Amino acid sequence: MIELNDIEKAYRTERIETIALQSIQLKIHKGQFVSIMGPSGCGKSTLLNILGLLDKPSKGNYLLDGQAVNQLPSKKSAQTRNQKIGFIFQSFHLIPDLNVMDNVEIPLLYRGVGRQERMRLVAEALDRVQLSARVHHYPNQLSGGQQQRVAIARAIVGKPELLLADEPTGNLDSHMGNEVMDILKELNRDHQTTIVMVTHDEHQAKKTDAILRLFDGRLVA
Amino acid sequence: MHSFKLLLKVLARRKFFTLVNLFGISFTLMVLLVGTTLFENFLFPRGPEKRSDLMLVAQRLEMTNDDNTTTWTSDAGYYFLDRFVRPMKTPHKFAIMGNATTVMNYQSGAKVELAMRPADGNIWDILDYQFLAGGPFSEAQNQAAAQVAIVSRGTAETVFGTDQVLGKSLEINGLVYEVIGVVQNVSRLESRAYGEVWVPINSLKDQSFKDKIVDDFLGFFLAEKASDLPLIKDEYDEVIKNVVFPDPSFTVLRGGADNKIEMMARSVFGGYEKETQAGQLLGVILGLVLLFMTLPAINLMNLNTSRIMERSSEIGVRKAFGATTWDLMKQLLRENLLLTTLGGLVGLLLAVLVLSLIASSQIFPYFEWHLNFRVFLAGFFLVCVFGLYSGLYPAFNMSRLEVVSSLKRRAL
Ligand SMILES: Nc1ncnc2c1ncn2[C@@H]1O[C@H](COP(=O)(O)OP(=O)(O)OP(=O)(O)O)[C@@H](O)[C@H]1O
Ligand SMILES: [Mg+2]
Repeated sequence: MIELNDIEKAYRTERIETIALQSIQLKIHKGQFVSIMGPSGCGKSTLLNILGLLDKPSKGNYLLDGQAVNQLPSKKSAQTRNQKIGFIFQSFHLIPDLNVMDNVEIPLLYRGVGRQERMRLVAEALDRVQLSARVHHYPNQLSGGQQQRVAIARAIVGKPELLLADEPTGNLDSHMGNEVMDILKELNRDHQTTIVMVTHDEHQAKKTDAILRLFDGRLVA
Repeated sequence: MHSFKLLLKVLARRKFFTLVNLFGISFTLMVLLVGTTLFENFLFPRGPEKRSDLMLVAQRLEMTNDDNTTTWTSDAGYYFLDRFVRPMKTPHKFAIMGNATTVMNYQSGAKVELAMRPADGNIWDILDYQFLAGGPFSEAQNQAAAQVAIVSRGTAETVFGTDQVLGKSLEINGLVYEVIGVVQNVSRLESRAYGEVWVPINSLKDQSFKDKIVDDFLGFFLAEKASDLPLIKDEYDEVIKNVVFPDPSFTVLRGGADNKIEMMARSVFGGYEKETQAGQLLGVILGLVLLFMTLPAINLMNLNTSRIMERSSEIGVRKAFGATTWDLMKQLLRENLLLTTLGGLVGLLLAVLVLSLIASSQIFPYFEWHLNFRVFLAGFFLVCVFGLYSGLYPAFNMSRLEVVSSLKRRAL
């Protein structure tokens, strides 16, 4: 499903050049649940952003479903993100001015799904994260764990094949963190959704199929 | 719906800025709407000048002598209009009327100033004065120098204290006129038709105007159809070039026959050519309107820009989930247009208020105004221009934000 060949990412400013990633070779199969670990600043988020087409590699090839996607024009990559990828962020990134329903339906808006169908899909996604009773709440009326579950609902409402999560439990206590992990495991099991998750938590990482370790921009065994 | 709810929320979060901005937008659009209403009412009169689309007026003239040492610029003279212009073939109707002169009347016991216009008997065929009582004087009465007068309703009321004035005597410049007609008050915006009392040209005591090329008169043309208008202009140009001057030291006469916008252009830019700079005038007006919009637009741009910074996480999220640059630009422009429309509606209310105040304050006698579909359309156009003007740049900026960096800001 995912194939990275010799990916490199360099950040250049006038004076310094930071190599955030280098010589990344990576294959992730459909239905795999993979976690990425490594010390702070080693390039985990950078890798995840490249996988999610939010950022472009400086060098190398990225095949997603057999299609080269590393140099897609921005409109095409927006389309690919919309149809294939769901994101979960450490700090939730819910829109505070929108209620749960309006937050969750966002990916569907850019797909031109009709209102009835949107309502149905949102209800289904909220059901999966057991938040059906909170449709009309606003983010600041929810606990951190509930907010992250809303964010998961938003990530899965469009039924993406690939779910990318950057420290999804990083801002949660261990109890709420476990809840979120259980939901991700379930999604992976029931829908064969491919999941790539960055985490600092060995305990959570052990629950996944494979652990990738990054050090100084390189994958280590 | 999504967008409207979001707009209200976002605006409510910064109440003070929003109010200041809304006030700026409303005030700007109010001024522009008042201006638009006046301009529209000026260009498309509903009173005596209602046939303006078929009317041309010969007014400004420039007369120069053979060695270029003396130049007279003034309005047209009676001799020129009567002797050379009246015989023209292309106009359907032609009439002469003098500019308004202020005359005093003491009949009511107090001093009353009246705008008096000397006219020939044909003016009623071109200008649609609405008679409330009696009727106009005829050209035969003008030829006979009959001492008859038409008054406006306002004049009847101030001089006689009643509008039942037919047959009453009106003193003007030491002459006694019989009132034979009462017309509806004329709005000041219809400057060509405006007056408070009308008398036959030939009844004036002082007839020295009869041999002047340039003086204080206007020639009114009415075309049978719009396509005749250029023909009238051409023929008028011929007439002007072939004038025979009573004073042979003068050799060159210049001027043109103008519709309303051309008249305005001529009074702004001057000039005595056949053609006026009406196009430039519209350009200048549009430029001024844009200039006038600039300050509140910059304000709104600022608000938009800071809103975008606050909302960078929202923008990042939307992009991550598949919004294209264009989707986001549309969203921000839509929000901005909603805000300006809101401002436009408030501005419209304010404009109605201000226009009513002007109308009731008597700054302009008999000032009247109408809001109509055309004004609404122009107003809507202004609102859209303003919305795009103030929204495009921030929207463009926003849409260029990188997803990764906009998500890094922990605005939430
Ligand atoms: N926009 C940028 N410009 C320059 N350097 C950057 C930029 N973004 C990231 N970097 C650098 O790239 C390296 C990898 O950053 P990245 O955010 O991927 O780390 P991370 O592994 O996610 O760290 P953390 O665990 O703290 O989130 C860091 O050294 C960082 O300073
Ligand atoms: Mg990171």
